[in-house]
Amino acid sequence: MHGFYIYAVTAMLLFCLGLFGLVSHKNLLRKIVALNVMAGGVFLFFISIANLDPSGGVDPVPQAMVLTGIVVAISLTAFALCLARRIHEKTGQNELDTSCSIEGEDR
Amino acid sequence: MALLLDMLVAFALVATAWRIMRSPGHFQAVVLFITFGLLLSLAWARLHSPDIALAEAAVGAGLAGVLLLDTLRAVAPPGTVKAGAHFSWLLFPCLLLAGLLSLSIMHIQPDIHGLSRAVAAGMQATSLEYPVTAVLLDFRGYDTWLELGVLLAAVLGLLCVRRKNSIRAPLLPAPAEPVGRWLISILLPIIILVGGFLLWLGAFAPGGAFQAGVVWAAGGVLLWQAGHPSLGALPGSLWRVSAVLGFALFWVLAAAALIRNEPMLTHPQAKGWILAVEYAAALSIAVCLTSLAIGGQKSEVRGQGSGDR
Repeated sequence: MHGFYIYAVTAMLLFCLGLFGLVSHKNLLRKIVALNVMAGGVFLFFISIANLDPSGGVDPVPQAMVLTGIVVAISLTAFALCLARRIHEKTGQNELDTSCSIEGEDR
Repeated sequence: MALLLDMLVAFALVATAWRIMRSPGHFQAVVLFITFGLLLSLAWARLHSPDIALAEAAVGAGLAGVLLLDTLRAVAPPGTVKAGAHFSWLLFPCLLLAGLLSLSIMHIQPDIHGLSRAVAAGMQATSLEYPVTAVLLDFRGYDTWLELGVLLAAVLGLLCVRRKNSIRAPLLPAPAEPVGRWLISILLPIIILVGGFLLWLGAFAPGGAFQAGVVWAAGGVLLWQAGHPSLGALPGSLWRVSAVLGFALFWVLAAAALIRNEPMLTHPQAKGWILAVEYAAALSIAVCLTSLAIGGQKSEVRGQGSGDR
């Protein structure tokens, strides 16, 4: 029971720290890392709830969903990193600056 | 003692996450993220979920680390890294949100009944003996099907962004790396054995298509990193077929059920069917993840090389 509270609160902290990283960093790579930390927090909360099962075991449905989620998260990471590389090739920058949009390319 | 261990793991997780967000160097943040993945898999083990611990150790710490380090090398060569972290007032609303969410946790009823009873009731109807694998491949096959679709979509998206029509083309000629090739000749047989064992284990114990797929994908990435020519020598059609196989087999299953006028994705309760789907899914996951790791970079490196010449 104590384990549930420890891990659930940790999950919330991880989620919010990830959110903080996502909004406070300009660098796209750091944003992607922060997104992964957020995902880790969500998975942790899911599994800590699955551990509450009164039968003493662990609920298999959230486990299966987190397994699916991990693979989806890595697909997302790989694609996002590929886009970040493309942005770096095109603009020479590692961040999305809203002020250097189409006008910047005209110059 | 167990409580102390849990608190230690939890503290290490939060402290690592904090350092990931606040460390000035990008390289430092990526290495800390790999550490974070390993700590997280320790937490999964503490939470009685060995399946997720296996997948997290291979994907979260291994594959994600390779992808991040490789991208970092491409977009920010060492020496040009600026200090990225500066104190932001945004921390306060985020901590407030964390506090509110933690308060809401206190209101969760400790005696909630999950779906484990429903799964236990359904276990008699399926030929699998391990509940997590049964949920993945039988009860909630829809999730697994669409997850294979997401993987496939990510590979296709990667090819579109990179403007390539084949993953494997830029692998040749492979660079000669004697140490890497020596290492891979020892590691690859072990990786293939461990993956196959996990796949076989999935029917009745922790293990299964996901874990086997990610272990094999790690083998594929190692092959590429070691500069071994075998990956590039595979015919492109074989590569494509094995990437689509898992998704296609689920599709056939769904279509067959429609023709037989049954609810979608119900299948004959033969162990052979489920095992075929599981093996195909493992192969597709391995090939897609390897493609995701390889596909993003190699052509760019060679493109630059040929541009310089």
